[in-house]
Formats: sequence, structure tokens, C-alpha cells
Amino acid sequence: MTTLPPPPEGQDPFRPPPSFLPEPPAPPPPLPETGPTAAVPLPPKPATEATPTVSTPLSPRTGSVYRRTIANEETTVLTPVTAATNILDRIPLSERKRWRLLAGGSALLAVLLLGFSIYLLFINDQWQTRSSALTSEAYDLGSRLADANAQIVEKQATLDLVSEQLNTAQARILELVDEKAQAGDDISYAQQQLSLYQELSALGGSVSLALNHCVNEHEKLVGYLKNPEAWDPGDLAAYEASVNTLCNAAQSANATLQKALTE
Amino acid sequence: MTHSRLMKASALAAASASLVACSVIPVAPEGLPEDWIPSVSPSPIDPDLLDSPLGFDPEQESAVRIRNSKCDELSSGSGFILDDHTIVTNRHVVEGFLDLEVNTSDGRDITVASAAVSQVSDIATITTVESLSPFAPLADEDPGLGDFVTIVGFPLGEEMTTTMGSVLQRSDDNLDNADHVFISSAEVEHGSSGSAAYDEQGEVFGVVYAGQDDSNYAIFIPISIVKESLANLDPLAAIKTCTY
Repeated sequence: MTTLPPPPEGQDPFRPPPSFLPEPPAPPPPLPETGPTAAVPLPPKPATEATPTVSTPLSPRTGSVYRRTIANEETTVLTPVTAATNILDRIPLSERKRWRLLAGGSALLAVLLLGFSIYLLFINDQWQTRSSALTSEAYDLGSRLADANAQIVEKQATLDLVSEQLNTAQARILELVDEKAQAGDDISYAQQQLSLYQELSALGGSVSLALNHCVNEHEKLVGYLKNPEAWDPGDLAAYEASVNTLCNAAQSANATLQKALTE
Repeated sequence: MTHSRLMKASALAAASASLVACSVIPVAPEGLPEDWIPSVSPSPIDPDLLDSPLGFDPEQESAVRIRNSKCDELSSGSGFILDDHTIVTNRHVVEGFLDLEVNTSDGRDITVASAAVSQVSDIATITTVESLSPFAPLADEDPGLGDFVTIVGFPLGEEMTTTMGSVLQRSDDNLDNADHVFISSAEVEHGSSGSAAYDEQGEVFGVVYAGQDDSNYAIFIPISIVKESLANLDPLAAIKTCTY
């Protein structure tokens, strides 16, 4: 911030310097006497008594105003201004120029404002059209969105149902696969049992045959022993031993069969 | 300040004001777009779903049930599809068979062509006549402690189940069927033997072969030993006749 220099001694700091003031007009002629008394010339006022102020109406009687104008630093001359003077005449030329410029500028500004207002009206109309189109589009999109939402809800419900059905189907598949496997197990087990029974049946047949042989041979041996003198003792003993072996084998096979049947 | 300077300053101010005003002066709207809804392309469907016509997971579809008809008993175990014609299971699932039957998870019966067993661990393979799918991919590395594990099998020879847990510990094999094994918190039962143990990526990183007696926690052979076993297989012939 710059600091202004202090005003000169004895000068009002709020008053512009004398150079900003217009040149004082020439001193008017002395006012004519209005009364019967003789005019007494006004004693010249000492310059030191002059007090610079603004214009002040001094004489309502004549409609004139006295302007006390600073002529210089020492003297002040009161200048009468008649009411008949045009007000523009009393405005300095520079002031008038300024007023003309201001008027011209105002007119230009008014024209510009008018043009701008028309432009704004045009733009406003376009924006309103766009706003209407957007509102219509928004309603359309909203309607389509609602339809899409409804479809999504419907599809989701369908999907949930299908998922549930898939889970049920998968669970059922696993059950059926298990049931099939169990059935396969049962068949395999049955085949095993069938094979076992076939084996046992075959074993039973063998045992039965062996036991029949045993019985037959045993009956023959009994017959031989009824008349032992008719046979060689050695051959008879050998035959008896072979019959015992045969019967023991048959009994053993029978024991195995009985054991297998009980398991 | 003289008048000319004042006028210049005023003109400059007016010009500046005009410039500023032009930036805030409303302009005519642009035309509305023809289509307010952007085009979107649907997300690709999960390929796992495409591969599964029944909606099962690949791990479930790879699981098979194995029935072993022996002379004196009938037993069942689990397995998984390794490739077109190969199923991996446990050796003890196929040992002593008169007849082997394979059922897929969707209920198809698969005819067995032959079987082979490993002498390295409790691992065996079954070769099938029909083509199989989908394949269970093998992991590159053994499981780590705390890893998530999924086991798909047929416990007790019944319905297929999926159990999950985590790898709890690495342990020596008490049954001497492998060099070392892993114990997981996923529970298994008899009949789960041969089930694949899957990691989080859906790759097989072990083959179940036993369960802990008290907790039913799965004990499985790590994939490194499984691979070693698969590389050393001996044919296993079916038993021809039974002696009672």
C-alpha cells in the first residue's frame, strides 16, 4: 500500500486541489441598486476571508444563485447565475461529453440487452423443447425399465423354480444311481449266492453219490463177510479197507456239505 | 486519471466482462441421442456348467463307484476318472475280484476290461471298455498343511457324497501302503476308499485309502506317490474259481 503525501498546510484534505476545479468566470458587473438608498460599493473583501465552499442559494428574491468560486488560493469571487440560463450551458463541456457517452452507452446497452433477451427467449424455447423431449424419453425409459424389472422378477422366479427343480432332479438322480447300484449289488449278491448254491448242490450230489457208493460197497462187504471162507482173506481185508476209505471220504464230503449249508 | 485513461479502462473492463459473460451465456442444447440404452454383451457362461449336462460339479462327475464281487463277499469302493479309459482307485478295492463293475455318478454301467495294481502303494487302476469323461486333473504338488480339501466318493457303497475339510497333518503310514500320508478333517467311511482328494483348484492332490477309526478323518496318499505308483503297475488277474 502506498501512502499519500499529506496535504499542504491549511488545506482541506477532502477538497480537491485547485487544479481539478474549472477556471473561474470573469467577475460580473456590480449588481444594480434595488432600493431607494444609494448603492454603496461593497468594500472589497480581504482575500484571506474567502472560504471556499460549494454553491449556495443566496437570493431567493431574484432567483439568482451566487456561486462562490475559488479563483486562486487567495481570492473568492461570487458569481451570480441567472435562472434563464440553459442548464446544459452550466454543465462544463467535458461533463456534457461524458453524459453523451453515458447516454450512447446506455442506448447501446439497451439494444444489446434487448438482443440478448431475444436470444435468451430463443434458447429458452429450445431448452424447453429439449426438456419436454427428455421428460417424454424419461417416461418411456421408465416404462421400459419397469417392464424389464417385471421381466427380471419373472425370470428370477422362474430361475429359482428351475434351480429348485434342478436340485430336486439332481438329488433324485443320485438316489436313482444309488438305487441302481444297490440293485446291482443285490444282483451280484444273488449271483454269488446262486453260484454258492450251485457249488453246494454239486457238492451235495457228489456227497450223495459217495454215500450211495459207500452204502452199496458196504452191503457188498457185508455179503462177502457172510461167507468169508469163499474169499481169500487178504483180498477180503483189502476190499474192506477200500470200502472204509470210500465211506470215510463220503462222510468227510458230507461233513463239508453240512458245514457249508450252515454258514 | 484522465478521461481517455478512464475510457480505456472502461473498455478493457467491458471486454473482460464480455469474455466472462460469454462463458456463462446459455447456449442451445444439442440434439437428443437416438438410443439411450448402451449395448451390452452377455457374460460368458461358466465352462464348468457347459461341461455338465446334469449340473453336477466336474469333481462329482469324475467320481465312480466300483463293485468287487469276490468268492465269499461283495465289496464296494470309490474311484475317479483319470483319462478316456482309466480309473484310479485303491489296490485293496480291486484285490481278489471275481468280477469288477463300475458305475458312473450319473448311473451308467461301465464294463471293466482289466485291472492293475501298484506295489509301491495302495493304488490300482481299472481299464474300461467304454470311453469315460470328464477327467480329474492331477495336481503338480503334494498338499500343504491347512490346505482346503474336497473328497467325493460313495461311503458305505451308498449315495455319492461330497465332504470338505482341511489338511491336518503329514504322517507316516501305519498300514505300510505308502511312504507317508496326509490326514484331513474331511470325513470318510468304508466305501470311500479310492476317492479323489481335490485341492481348491479342483485338482487331485491325493487318493483316499483309509479313515481314522475314532474320527473318520480321511487318510490319503499324496499325489507324488500316486504318480509314482501309476508309473509302476502290475496286471491283476481275476480269480477264476472259488473253493468252498
